[in-house]
Amino acid sequence: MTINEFLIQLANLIEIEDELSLDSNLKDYEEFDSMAIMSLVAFVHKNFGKQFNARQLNQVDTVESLIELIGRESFTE
Amino acid sequence: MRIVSYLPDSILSNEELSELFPEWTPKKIEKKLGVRERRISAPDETALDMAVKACEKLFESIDRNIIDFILLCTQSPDFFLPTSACILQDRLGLRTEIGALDYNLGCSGYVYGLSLAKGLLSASIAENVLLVVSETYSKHIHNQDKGNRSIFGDAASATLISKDMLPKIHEFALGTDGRGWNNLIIPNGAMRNRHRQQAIDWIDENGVLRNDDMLYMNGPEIFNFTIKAVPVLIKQVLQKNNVNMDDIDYVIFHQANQYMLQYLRELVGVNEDKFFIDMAETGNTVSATIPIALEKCLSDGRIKSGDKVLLAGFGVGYSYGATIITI
Repeated sequence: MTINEFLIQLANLIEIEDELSLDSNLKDYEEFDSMAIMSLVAFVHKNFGKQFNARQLNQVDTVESLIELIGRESFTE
Repeated sequence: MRIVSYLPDSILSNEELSELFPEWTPKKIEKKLGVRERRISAPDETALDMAVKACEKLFESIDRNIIDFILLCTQSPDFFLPTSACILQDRLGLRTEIGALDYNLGCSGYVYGLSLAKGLLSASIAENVLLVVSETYSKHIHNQDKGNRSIFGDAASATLISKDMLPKIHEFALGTDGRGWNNLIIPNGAMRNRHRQQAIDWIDENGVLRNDDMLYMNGPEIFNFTIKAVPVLIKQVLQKNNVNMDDIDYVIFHQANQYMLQYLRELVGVNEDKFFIDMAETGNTVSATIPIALEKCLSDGRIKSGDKVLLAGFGVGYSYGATIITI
């Protein structure tokens, strides 16, 4: 998955109408709630084979910080 | 197998929740969690009261005097002591020459109950076990906890398991991982933290509203646990029974929430047409979701005599278990 594909899928996943960029702060969105985090757990496991604990997930703020958590090496060019 | 469930009268709808928590629309709650409404026990109605009602409905079609063992699964007992199952024996007017005990499990409770019943029947300790699960998580949930109020509902269910069923209750795979003990917990009120703190709310490091008198669930951690544990559990139960998923006619998992179930179904590799997801009118009723599902599937013909049904429960503890039964 490329970063651009990830941005689109992430917006769909947490049901945000705005276009997301690396700088977008997910915590600014009311939609980024416990249900969105549940969706994110499945999405990250399915697409990247990774699992993160609640503390790690709750420390995510910008989209970039989420990408760093998943690991940039997991994304294609 | 005779199963009868009881749902309390009061309904909490998504519309009512959305009025309290406008950031969650009724549609969003239903889409993600798969729950449209849940039943809530009356303020003076306990899990034991609901257990009595489920059992009385069961006794409309069977003779109560055949019961020689009560297994009652609840995490909402009337008292620390006595044992709720003893009070249940009295309230149901059952014979006194019978065994009765409570056991404290949540979402894995029905599968564990079947395993205990099988043991009692196999050892000729009992011939007709009354397996009762009854839960009122609503009484443990903070009124501002929109997540848990959206997910959980109250219910009771009673199953008669008789000796002639023994050949139809197949092998079990059971699991326990106490490392997750504090991810689904009511911290106060028992011996470790005896005194209830009179509802002091606090916000944890993840920004979650907490109150140690009330139920706390770390949703992402519970989901992580199920992603790891359930596929292994299912593999083990199939192996123990020397069957493949293709040999199974129907699969009923504990109805945790729809989103989680859909992902677990994908992970385990079960066709959608033989996988039960139906919690719209009840929500997650903890130990009662599996018998409620079985009762529903038996009555609408989704499962019929001779079918092999795989059951799996997983949750608080962590505790998990699976088995295969022939209907």
